[in-house]
Amino acid sequence: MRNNHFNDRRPTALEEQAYSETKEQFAEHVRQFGLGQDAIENLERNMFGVARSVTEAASRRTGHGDTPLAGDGLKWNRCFDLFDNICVCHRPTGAGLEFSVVERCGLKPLERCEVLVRGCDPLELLRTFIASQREVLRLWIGDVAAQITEKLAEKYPGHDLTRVSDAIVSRLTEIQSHYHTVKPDEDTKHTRGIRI
Amino acid sequence: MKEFPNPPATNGAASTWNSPQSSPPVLPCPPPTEPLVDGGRIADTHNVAGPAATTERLAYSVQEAADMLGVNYFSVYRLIQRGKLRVCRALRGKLLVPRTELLKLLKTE
Repeated sequence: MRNNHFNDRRPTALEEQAYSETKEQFAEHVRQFGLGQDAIENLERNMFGVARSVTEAASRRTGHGDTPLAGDGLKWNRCFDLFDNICVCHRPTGAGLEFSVVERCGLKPLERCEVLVRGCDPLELLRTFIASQREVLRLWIGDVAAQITEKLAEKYPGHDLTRVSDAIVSRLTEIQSHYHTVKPDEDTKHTRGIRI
Repeated sequence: MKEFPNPPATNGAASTWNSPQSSPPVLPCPPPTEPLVDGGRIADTHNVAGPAATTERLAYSVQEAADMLGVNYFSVYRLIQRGKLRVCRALRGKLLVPRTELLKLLKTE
């Protein structure tokens, strides 16, 4: 039954109550999701500048004096921080340079890092990374939506509160739908070395 | 440098199993053949020695898995997205991380 959306008829008192309670309960999720979305969009907007900075740092062989060790034993030179625990690294290979986006999640022994994506072209690397992070956000939305449904079912057994969960989830998906696509000509608008 | 979000904690465990979905990689989750639910948690009945025996959970939410691993909530989603940590879906899409997968991840690390 999908004919009872908020914009079709007024919510019942129970729905209003459930909505305000659940919205408050998941407010932090919504806020954090917005931050994550912003971080990715900022990176996407500055992608060309970041890629240029990475290339320059790698070509100068400069780094942050930090060599994260990947799970496979490869040593990477950290050269650009993307988020607080995620950075772009490079390492020399026989054919030139290889780049990677690595995460220090502290999971492995010796503070080894997780290589999230790797490749020879920094721009392509960032594109792939951004796409993967959008996928992570979608994964998160689906999980949070299921949690909302679960909480409502626990608290209000026997009531159809589909409209409430839909309304809250739509807040998340609205944020998600504000997808910012960077056009190639936006490259020149950003200075290099921008930290996100 | 912007801090990537560290989502808030939520608790809860699923008590039903649904069929797996396509992406990200999920485990085939057969319906349980014996009662697994104990106080809203999925219990490992193979380790049950008696009525008072403590039961070991078979699966955890993403937040719980992150807490147990001692990593960021979002790092677990990244592991799932990259197929490094396989999950089940239950309760209309809620992600559940099987204990066996957590152990497997730690062994491979």
